Amino acid sequence: MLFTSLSYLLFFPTVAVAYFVLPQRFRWVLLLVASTFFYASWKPIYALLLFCSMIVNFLAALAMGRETNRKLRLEYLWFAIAINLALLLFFKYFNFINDELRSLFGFAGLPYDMPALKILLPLGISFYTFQFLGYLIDVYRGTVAPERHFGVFAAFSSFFPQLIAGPIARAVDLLPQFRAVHLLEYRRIVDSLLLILWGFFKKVVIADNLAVAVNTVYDHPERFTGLPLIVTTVFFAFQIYCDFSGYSDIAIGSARVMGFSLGDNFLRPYSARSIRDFWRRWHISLSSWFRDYVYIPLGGNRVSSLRRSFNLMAVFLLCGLWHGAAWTFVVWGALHGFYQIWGVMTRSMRERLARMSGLVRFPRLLDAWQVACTFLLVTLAWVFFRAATFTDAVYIFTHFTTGLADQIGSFAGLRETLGNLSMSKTLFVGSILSIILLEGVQWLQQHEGMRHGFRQMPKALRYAVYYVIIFAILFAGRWETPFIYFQF
Amino acid sequence: MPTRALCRSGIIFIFGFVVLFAICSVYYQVRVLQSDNLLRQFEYVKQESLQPEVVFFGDSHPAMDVRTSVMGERYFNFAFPSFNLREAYLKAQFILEHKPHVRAFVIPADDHIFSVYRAEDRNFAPMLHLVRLRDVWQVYRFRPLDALVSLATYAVPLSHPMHRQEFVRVFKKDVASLFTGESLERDLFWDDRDQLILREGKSWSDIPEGQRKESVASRVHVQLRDPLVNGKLISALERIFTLAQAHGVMVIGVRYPVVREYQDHARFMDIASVRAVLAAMPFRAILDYQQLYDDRQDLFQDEDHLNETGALLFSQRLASDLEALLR
Repeated sequence: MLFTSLSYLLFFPTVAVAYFVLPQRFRWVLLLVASTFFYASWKPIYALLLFCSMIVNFLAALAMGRETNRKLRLEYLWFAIAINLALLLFFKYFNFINDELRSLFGFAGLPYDMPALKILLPLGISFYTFQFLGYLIDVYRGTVAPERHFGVFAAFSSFFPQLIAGPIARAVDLLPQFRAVHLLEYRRIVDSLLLILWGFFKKVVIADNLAVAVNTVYDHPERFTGLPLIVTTVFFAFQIYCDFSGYSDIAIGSARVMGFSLGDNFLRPYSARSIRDFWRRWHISLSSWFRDYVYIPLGGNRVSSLRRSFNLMAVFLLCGLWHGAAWTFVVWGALHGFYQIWGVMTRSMRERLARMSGLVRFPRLLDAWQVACTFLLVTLAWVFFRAATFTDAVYIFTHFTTGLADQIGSFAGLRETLGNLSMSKTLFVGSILSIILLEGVQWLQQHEGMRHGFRQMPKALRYAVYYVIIFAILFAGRWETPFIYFQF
Repeated sequence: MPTRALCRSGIIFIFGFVVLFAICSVYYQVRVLQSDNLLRQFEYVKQESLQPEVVFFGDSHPAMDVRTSVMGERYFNFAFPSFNLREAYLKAQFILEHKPHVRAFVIPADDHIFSVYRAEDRNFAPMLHLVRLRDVWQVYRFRPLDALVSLATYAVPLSHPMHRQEFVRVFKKDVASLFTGESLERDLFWDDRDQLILREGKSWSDIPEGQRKESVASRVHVQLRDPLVNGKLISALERIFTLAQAHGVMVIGVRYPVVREYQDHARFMDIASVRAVLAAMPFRAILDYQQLYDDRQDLFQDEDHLNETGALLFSQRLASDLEALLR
């Protein structure tokens, strides 16, 4: 079920009302039934797969909890991890690995008969697998006690707001909330509904309108050179942000209406001053997962610089691969790994340069410079994330400046070039204004004073703002595009 | 207490929203729906004085290519852009109920007739202006949610994204006209038989080659994408045959003209499977005009529609061929 579908607009209020009507002891049942319905409305058979995963992870965690022998506990852990990863590998990476093997065998002139499988990627498998893995590792480490009530565990594992595309919840944070008493709080509910509304706006108004131009160019990049490639690459940076953070806002808001806290998943990532900072702000639940369950166990920062570089690269390669079974994602991850290593290696040199150039005396200017550089690096990496093939990505990289001078040399040339983006003038200008609006609102969101000021405004004025957002969603939004992160 | 406050605020907020939405709906009704192309066609066909013998069904191919004004009173073009065989069946049902003199149905036999491109339309709301819900149910076998969406669209058109897009388009034009002082452009172009006609006679051969290639490639990609044979549309066609046979009406297939580049691209698609299905159907005849204007590309306005000159010329040829079959 899509968040931006009519089904969800009917489903969610029904569940939320029922949640508060039901006595506390039955609420987990409601959430479990609702989550199963939410997931099964896509492909019922895959709900069965999720259910089987739940059983394995529930039993493995229980076994680890009862076992005092550390070696045996570790065996249980590896067994459960292996099952989770096997499912993920099979559904998500089988065809990718198979294709690569076929190419390799073909290159070596050897026969290879394994056919490609026609399998549909179970929705949210990357997300719920990581949530299970986090839970198992936490139980093994003793940071969280194994859940003994299967119903509550199932409700936690399939919690519909975050089941399909995160945020990836930690058992230590989310599990106890299924036993907490959530009251109907006016302020919390209104704020959560506003967050949902803002999520819808980001997704259907900003992201999906930007997608018109992005799809036109990225579906056939060979037809374009210069400015269209630059403009749509920048547009994609905002499209993917609005798409995914919009989803997260709807997920977090939906959970919060019922009293559950899922934590932030994005914190104005494009105002990051370094790539490291960017990953503290972008898809926080995933980056912190990799930090806690991969990077730190590998040794983290407390190792030699060479080993640290290896750790960083390993984490980002995995992160790239997590996003999709394609080389473009691997390269995207490798680029971020390289940025991070380069960032660590050149930190002192960059600080010295800033001092020598006198930029440190103008901290705002220095900030702006760092933000611009980070945005540029991140945006360049998005080319690999969005391009359909590696060849397309290379083409885009090598044609960013081709014909650029002619395209921006005259107003007529500029208009003609931008006219090829399948966007009307109104939509193009509207898209740029919506990006400015996005940054403005996010800036306001960070200032409690502004938020308080808004709440103190007359009700009619506040309602007028809400109506403008709703009507923009209804009349300027596009409703046919699924969320980008659904494919992961 | 929070429940009461929440309910009170919720009711006030929703009431405000409903009022604003109602204002938009009234504007849309006045500005767009009263002159809606499809509804106008439905109103026209409901006139008792209209008693055709031959009725055309289908999508934009017959809608744009066939000019019944040059074919004579016995012909009526009931085709409409984007309509598929499900809607053709419902329209045929209406025609047989209300037009007793009908002798023949003309159905498109184009290569995209059963394609997923034509099958994906799930909004049956417009058909409720013509036939009963239970008739629609028989054809669509819709899920409850689809039914809800379509009924909502029927009752409140702006609840459907398609209508909201149209609202925005018209609203923008109206606002612009306030500033430019230009009179509002007419959206509808009809001939004296209430048939949709083209505003301008563009010519395919005047379009630069590169643009033509791109346009054809994307059109074929969209129109003939897999699966090319959708079972639900085949069953709709079978229903049309059953209905026609029960009323002694003959069914004639027409493959409409397309440009050469379109045919070249289509060769790479599995059109043989479509043609095999069509060949197995009890058509009185399938008139194949796909290559009719291979040496007259100037008669097309785009890759698969004739321009005004082409449509007039084609309609005369079609009329003479149909006359021979009807004799």
